[in-house]
Amino acid sequence: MNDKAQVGIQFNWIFVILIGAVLLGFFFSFIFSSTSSNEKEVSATIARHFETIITSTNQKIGTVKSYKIPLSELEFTCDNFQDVYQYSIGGVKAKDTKYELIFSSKKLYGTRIYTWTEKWNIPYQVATFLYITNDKEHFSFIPLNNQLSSFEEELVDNFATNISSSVANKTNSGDYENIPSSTMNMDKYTYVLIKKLSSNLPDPSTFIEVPKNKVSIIVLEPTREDLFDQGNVYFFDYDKYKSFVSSTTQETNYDSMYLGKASLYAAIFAGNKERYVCGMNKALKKLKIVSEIQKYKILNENQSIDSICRSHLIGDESINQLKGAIYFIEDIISQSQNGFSETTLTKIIADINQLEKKNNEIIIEYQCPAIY
Amino acid sequence: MSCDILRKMIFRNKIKKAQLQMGETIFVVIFIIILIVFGIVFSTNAEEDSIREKQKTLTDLNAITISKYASSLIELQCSTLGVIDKSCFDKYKLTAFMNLSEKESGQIAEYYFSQFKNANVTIKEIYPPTNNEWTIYYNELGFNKTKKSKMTNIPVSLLDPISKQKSFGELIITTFS
Repeated sequence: MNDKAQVGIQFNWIFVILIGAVLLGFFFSFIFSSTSSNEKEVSATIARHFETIITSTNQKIGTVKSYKIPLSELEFTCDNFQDVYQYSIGGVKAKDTKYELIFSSKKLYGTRIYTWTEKWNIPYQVATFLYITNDKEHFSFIPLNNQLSSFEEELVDNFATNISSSVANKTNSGDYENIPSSTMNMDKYTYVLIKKLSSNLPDPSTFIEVPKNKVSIIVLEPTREDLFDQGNVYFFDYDKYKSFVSSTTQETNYDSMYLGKASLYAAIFAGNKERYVCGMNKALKKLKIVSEIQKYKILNENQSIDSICRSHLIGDESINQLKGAIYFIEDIISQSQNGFSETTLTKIIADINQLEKKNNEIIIEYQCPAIY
Repeated sequence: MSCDILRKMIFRNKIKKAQLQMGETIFVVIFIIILIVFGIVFSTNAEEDSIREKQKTLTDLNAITISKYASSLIELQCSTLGVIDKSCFDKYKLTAFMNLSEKESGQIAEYYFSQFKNANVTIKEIYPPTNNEWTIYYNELGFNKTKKSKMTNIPVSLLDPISKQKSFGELIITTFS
């Protein structure tokens, strides 16, 4: 074989290899781009699905819904300090949630999610709270005595069905039965207890048999006759709870407060002080808007009502400096701008009580149009 | 002499054969490339159609979501002692909302933009016939009238809480895409 023929054969091979490489590269890039676009499509589908869930929460209050989603990690961020409110799917930001009232754990990983809604009435309906969890999160209610107290019973009865939960039994020896075990293989275990002034909280070793890092303990301390009216909330991790119950007096400052049933369950689903307070701050923004609508409504009605009703709605200096309903509404508006704190909440509660009284009074005694 | 000519002829034949082989290879490669290009053009067109279809579905879904949200605005619905009457809007609350929107347009627009985005939401009193109309939300930013819009009409009742008179109206939601 001469040199030219050899060069020809070699050239043929080089040509074939180059074209083959180009074709292979093309097909690989095509497959790669199609895989990544499929992943994006899945994320977009979940994001879209979620947006619909969030937007339509106002529709059916009190219902638990279950959704099957492709295996993915949902991350909910609510950070007042950094002003970040969003949820992301698989690490990619899906939507801003600056005004959406969502209460959930920071991360939910799995293929099934549950949503539950509750209306926030204080005293007029302000908003709908959306609670999100999944099949990898378990809620366990721990009674303080052998029998459930009326508050504990009420708390359990009103909790969402379908969501993974259990009620522990306290035995005569002081131990607990029907408590979550490691075999359940959950990502998070939330224990809920109701604190009473007279009785001490149980030691964590009596009711916790799961890894400590997966534990979140919520202690509720109702301050009214009705459990759902208002109360204090303590958020603990295992170690903090352990040191709290080990102290002789079992006294510590509560972390936050709840106001109404929706707010109580918000604390349980948030499982953490920062996320709960952040969500409640958003709720206060909505309270401000709704209260302002109430205020303008009363001012608009002013021309169409008689003087007695007017004095009760707007107020009248001449009748013992009678404070009208609008006075309390204006105070709620100004308080709701201060953010979710004990002081704010105490003042709002006082205004709400006055407003409730006023509403009943003007409807029953004076036959005036209702404030709400 | 004759040997020389024979050698030259054989050499020329070899070159022709090699050229022919090369030509065949190039032809096959070009043919394959043409097939691939056809495939890409075809699949791109099919993908484009499916994207257009999905976009239409999403636009419809968006309109439905906004309509659902608008029809369940608890801040504007009729209520007695905190109990909400669905599909009923309080006329005084609607006027109050418009007053508030005028006074604090920035705050209200920002709050409701997260739900309504680019849409117009209006409530019109139909029976008894009046000129009463309440524009709850208006945002046509960046969308002129020639752009695509979708209108959804939902029948609602309207209540005057002072006279306790109810009237019939419609909630008109126009979404822009």
